[in-house]
Amino acid sequence: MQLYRYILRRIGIAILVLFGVTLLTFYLSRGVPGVNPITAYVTPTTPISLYPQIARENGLDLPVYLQYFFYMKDLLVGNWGYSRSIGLPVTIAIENFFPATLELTIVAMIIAVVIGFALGLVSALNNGKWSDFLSRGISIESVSLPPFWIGIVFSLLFFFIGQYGLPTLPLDGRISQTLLLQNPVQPITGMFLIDSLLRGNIPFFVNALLHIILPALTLSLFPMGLIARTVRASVLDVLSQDHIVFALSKGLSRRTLITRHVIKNSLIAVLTILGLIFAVLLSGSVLVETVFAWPGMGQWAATSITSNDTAGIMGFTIVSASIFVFINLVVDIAYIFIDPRIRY
Amino acid sequence: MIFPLSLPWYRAFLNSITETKFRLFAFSLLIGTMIVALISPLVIPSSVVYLVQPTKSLLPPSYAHIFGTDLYGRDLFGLCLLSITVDLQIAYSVTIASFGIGMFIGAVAGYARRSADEVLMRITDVFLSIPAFILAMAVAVAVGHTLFDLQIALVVAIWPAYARIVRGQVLSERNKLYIDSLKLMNVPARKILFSHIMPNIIYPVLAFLTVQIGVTILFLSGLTFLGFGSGPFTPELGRIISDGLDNFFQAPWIVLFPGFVLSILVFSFNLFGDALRDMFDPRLKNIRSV
Repeated sequence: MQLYRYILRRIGIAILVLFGVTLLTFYLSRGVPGVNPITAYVTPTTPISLYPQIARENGLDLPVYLQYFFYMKDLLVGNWGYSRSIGLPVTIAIENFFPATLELTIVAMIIAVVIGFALGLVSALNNGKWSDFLSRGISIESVSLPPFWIGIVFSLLFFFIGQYGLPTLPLDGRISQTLLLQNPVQPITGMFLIDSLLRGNIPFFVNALLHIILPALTLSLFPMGLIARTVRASVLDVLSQDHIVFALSKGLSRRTLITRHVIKNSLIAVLTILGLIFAVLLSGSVLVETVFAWPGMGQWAATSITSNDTAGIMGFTIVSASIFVFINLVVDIAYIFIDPRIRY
Repeated sequence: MIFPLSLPWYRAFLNSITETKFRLFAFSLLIGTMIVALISPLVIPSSVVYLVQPTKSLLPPSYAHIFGTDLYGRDLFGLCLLSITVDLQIAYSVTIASFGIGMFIGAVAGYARRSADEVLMRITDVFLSIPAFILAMAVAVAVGHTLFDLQIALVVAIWPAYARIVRGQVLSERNKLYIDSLKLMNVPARKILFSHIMPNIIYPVLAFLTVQIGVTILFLSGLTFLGFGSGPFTPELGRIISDGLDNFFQAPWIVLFPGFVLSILVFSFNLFGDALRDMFDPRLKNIRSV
């Protein structure tokens, strides 16, 4: 019973936080004195005399709290407005861009978890030896590289490889334009890798996979370092505990010790920073998608923020904040079942 | 690390730093970066930033121009060194401001009773659930286009992380025995919090803060890379990289070197932060090698 109350309370808090997010974002795009919201509704050639009329038609002359009220009313019935910066309704934009970013973040997450976990484990198990320094160095370097710069370096590298006639990787977009016209895949999830497999279109899958390698690798570097650090700290923590000494003195083999005691515990540590990793990936996707011309949420966010497109900014932040809050909620609840020490 | 009372704190700090080669390397790298940042505005004339020489446009690296020159014929080496100073200044002021806000809110939330904690942390959660870089972009658009406005945007995006960390540390410290005895002695809560709890949690927070300076520099350069903040004649590493984008296939050095300098700068803070965390973590003293 206590458990259900805890979960209900957490869901209530999550909804409250999301409400706060809409309030903050709406204020930032409409309520700050320095910003004139009308810039999103006019072109440079629009005569100034028309401004008051345009403002009235779009409800911009109302007080901000009323504008917010009307926006929220529309939001709750599913009318998310029109993203002027890209000329699409927000719901359609999310439908188009979200799968692209989700695909990119999932692939980046897989790379980051696999390599980061290995780095952290190697580092902790060889504490103080040269392999520890090497893997620590790599993980610290990977959180120090500016994602946009490393993206450019990859582009440059593969551009020159291509110049020498060697096999290279595509540098922009999700798929080759010719393939998209000749041999299209009917969308199911919107994620090219999954759709093409479901439809059995192997050339499309290979092409999409080649396109995703560089952006995903670039995006994965920062979370990779985060995961390596977390795993290292948690493995060291486990190793310093008394039950490990006991297990060792009992004659437990090194392999059993690592697989049974160490890896399990550090997986839980990675689970707790899952929400943080997701936020980091979304932040990074703005820069990585810009560098690799990846048509996703990050690029849309950059465009709508720079052109002060309120509906676009709101749509983007609400989606990403909802996912962040949802992941943290799931992790917190999953934690109760994984860790028997926590009881509510 | 536990500071023995017989030694002054800086001696104890130096002893601990020189304990392993890793720490010594991290410390010297950081000091080196700071010295470069301090000296470069004195040595390099500011004309490096403003002097446009079309005849010297896009020269490859040579003895006269170690990093080559950019599209405007400016010496990239001097430009990069001056940028280190600008980037570090911004990172420091942003860190001080956001740490101040975050520390206050986190400390009060961690020490106060349920309702204040609840309200403060829910506000922090709102800020945390918008991806920090996107929040910084949104604020940067709202507040304006100078480097100072950019600092406000970064503070708004970064303070919640400090609030979270400080609150966690205060929560783990507040239930210790010496706090109970202070309460019994009728010491006011404000004094317990700021003169007794804070000094005890400052070291792990410092390690986090060092790493966070690196993150701030990455955020700053990311924002200027996207065109926020400064005009084309501000020496700032992200700005130099984005200026080089149009020509980087003919002249790769105009993008490679500034990015390299930027990553070294961030690396030095991250490395030192990592070393600090090891020094301050008493649990790591008795690790057995498996």
